[in-house]
Amino acid sequence: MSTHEGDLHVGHQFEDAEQQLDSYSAGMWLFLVTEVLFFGGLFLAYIIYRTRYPEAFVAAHHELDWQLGGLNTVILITSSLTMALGVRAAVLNRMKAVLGWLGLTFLCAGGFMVVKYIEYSAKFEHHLFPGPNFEFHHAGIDPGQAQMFFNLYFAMTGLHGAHVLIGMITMIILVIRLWVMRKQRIDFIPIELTGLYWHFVDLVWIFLFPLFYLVGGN
Amino acid sequence: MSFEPAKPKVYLLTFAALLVLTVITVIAAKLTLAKIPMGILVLDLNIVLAMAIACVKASLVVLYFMHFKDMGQVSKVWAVAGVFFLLIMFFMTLGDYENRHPEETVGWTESGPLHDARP
Amino acid sequence: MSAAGVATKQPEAVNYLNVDNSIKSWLLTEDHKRIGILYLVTIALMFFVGGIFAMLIRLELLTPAGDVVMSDTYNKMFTMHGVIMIFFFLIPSIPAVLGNFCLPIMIGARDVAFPRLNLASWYIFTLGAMLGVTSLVLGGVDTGWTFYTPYSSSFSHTPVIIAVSGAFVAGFASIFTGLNFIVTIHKMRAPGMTWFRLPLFVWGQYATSLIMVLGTPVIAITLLLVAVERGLRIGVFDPALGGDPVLFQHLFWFYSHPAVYIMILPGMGVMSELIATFSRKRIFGYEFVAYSSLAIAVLSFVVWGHHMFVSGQSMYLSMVFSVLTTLVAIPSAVKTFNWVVTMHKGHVKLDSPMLYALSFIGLFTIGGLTGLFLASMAVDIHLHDTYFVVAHFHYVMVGGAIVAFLGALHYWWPKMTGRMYPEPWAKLSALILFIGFNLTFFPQFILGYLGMPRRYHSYPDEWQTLNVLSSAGASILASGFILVAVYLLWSLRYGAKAPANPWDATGLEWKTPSPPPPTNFTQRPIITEEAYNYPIVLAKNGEPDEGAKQEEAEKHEHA
Repeated sequence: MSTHEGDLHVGHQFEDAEQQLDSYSAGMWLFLVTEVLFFGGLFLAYIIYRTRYPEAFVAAHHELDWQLGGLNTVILITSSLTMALGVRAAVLNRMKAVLGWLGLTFLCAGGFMVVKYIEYSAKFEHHLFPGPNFEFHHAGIDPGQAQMFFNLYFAMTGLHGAHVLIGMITMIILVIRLWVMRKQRIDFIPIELTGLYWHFVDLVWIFLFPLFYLVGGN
Repeated sequence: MSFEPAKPKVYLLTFAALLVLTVITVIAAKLTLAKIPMGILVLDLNIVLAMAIACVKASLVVLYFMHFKDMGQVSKVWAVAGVFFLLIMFFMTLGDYENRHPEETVGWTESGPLHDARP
Repeated sequence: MSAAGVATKQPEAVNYLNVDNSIKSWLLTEDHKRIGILYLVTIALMFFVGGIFAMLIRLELLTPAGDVVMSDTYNKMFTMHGVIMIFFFLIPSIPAVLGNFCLPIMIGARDVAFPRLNLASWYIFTLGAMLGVTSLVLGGVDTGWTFYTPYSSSFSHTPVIIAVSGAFVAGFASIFTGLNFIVTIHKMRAPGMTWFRLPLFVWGQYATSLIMVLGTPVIAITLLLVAVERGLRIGVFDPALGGDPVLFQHLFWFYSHPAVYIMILPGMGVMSELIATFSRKRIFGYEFVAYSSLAIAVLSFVVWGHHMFVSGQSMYLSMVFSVLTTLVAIPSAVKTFNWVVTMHKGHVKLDSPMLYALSFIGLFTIGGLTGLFLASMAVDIHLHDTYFVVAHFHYVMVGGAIVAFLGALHYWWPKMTGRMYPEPWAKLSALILFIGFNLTFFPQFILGYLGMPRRYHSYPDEWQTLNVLSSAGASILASGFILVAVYLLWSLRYGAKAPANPWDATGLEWKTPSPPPPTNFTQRPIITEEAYNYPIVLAKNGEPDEGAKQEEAEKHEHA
């Protein structure tokens, strides 16, 4: 199955569709590399405090519900699958399938955010959001050290959640664009790039889940 | 570049493998593994195991969902470079902490100052 | 392609400047040349603001007593000088202005790979700069440009969050520029433009982009954490919150040391262009100069700990950083020696860009070698946070990066504007800047060695002579910059029309008219020779000498 690049719009700066596709794909990977280092600073902070306050991290992580975290893991992995199938359908120029898979991915992303909302509001209720109202009572555990766990939890999952939201907005734009250009061959490049971004969001969560919900070692 | 998308079966197998590994990582967290002191840090082998599994999962996502092997040379080199420089940042910074003497910093890592400063 | 076809039909006079004069066409332009000009205007304004603070600092230090401003105000002055000069002038200076303008032309492309992203980067940068200026208007920040925690996050009573957001936002502009350049260099080269035919300026830009893409995200997340720690009192750096301030320093310098190379590497690229053009010779050891750019970029990421020798960092790690830091001298020396050897037996012409290039070699050598002093742990304990450090990095930042920027601006000015500037004035200003610069900063090496700490507004009486010399030098330096601004602006209206190739140089950018047409070339260039294909220099007896013959043989090897 070939991809009929000839039908696609080629930007004025490019010679042909191949150069355009190569450039966009390389650009997206480079962007993801910057994202790796963006999250990397937080991961470094996590490693240092996790290894510095091991008991406090174990005690604090019991406040998180690993089943909700696990549910979100499954949701995101599923959304990665639907996104991959959506990209495939776009390359094969199957409009209905693309819309279906993108819709499913969007629903998964929404589900993820709902679960996140439930978790966050529980933390606020139990005074586990860091700051003046933070309360943590556990024999032998310094609340300041436990607060560090929640600092990192909110910073990292918050930043990840922001990425999920950006992904959802991008998907809405993609669907509108597909609708506007429904008479033409599907321009799969934006879908492909969104797919790469979405898999990256999944990938970050793959690390966040064990780091926060499954500290273990108790 | 007219890349051929993979068959749905490949994606489904990847998906299944990711689910299985998720279950494995949950079970692995129940184990109690050794803790190794390093300078002012304590390395818990549980975290090493969990990260090893996460790396396998991440590799699956990159290799199959993101069809890494179909990507151009530039993307591949830069993706590897990104991880490489991230590891430089991790290991050189950790090199500081694991070579500091615990007694030198004990004065302010004790719970005292943490308590006092809390509002 | 169609775009090139359209360009050939247009009359010759149509260029990127006169193709559309409306303000809207400038603000919505996707032309890399216009975006370069937009950046030039923005950073020139920021340089002016930063320069005013430099002059105020030197005014205060004219007398030993802190009599012009209070110490709090002085803290704000050196902070705003640093923040503005580093984040809003030096980092975008050569890449975003001259890189944007020249790089696509040099590789024979119509534009960068992502023109809209390029425009977005300018808007983002401008937003960042406006935030920086806002923090200034609100009274200025007093943390030092390094924003060290916990002072910045918990104690300072100044608008730190706004200044930090400015640097954060400007960081994204930098990332977008770097990303764009990397993809452009990889994917947009004209047919026949192999990697080893690229001008060395392009290699320098590539190495710079590497740092921009890999380093900037780390400073972004770090500054974000500082802002969150300050705003919401949740954070990871303040010891009172259980954090470790040294972690901030690690994260900060992981970017900010490489950032120094973001400033100097493009300058080194410019140097290779200038030296080759005005010596009329191929750069000696082209491959070594090219690879040394990459080597500097990679090494820059493993030396950051030399800023932290007295921070409580493990001394074993400090030793490692100390040794790694000295390694940076090797690729830097490779470049310097190769430039000098390129001039050897060349037909050196002392046009104004070449004067800047010669300044660069001298000043950068001093700046680089004093860096080695500071890299040795024992010496650094003595010199840490003294004026020796201030002098060292100004020799690299001003003597290196800004001198290279001015050299590049003079070199490509005819191409960018289509006008020649008055050469005698340009030569005079290069001389004034060289004298003023050395008079300003050389005494600071001595002051630092004598123990004068940086960041204080008063000092003991016995240091006054050297400080007066330094302040006098600063006035000369400032008048040099003003002179440059005056005659460059004058030339826009009254300068002679520039020919396509005023320097008789070889690069692709000189093969297209000045100023270039909107699509850079009337037809897509096909490259058959390397960037520095200068005619063989004849020895006195009319025969090519040994060196020239060897060079010719090498050239054939690469062709």
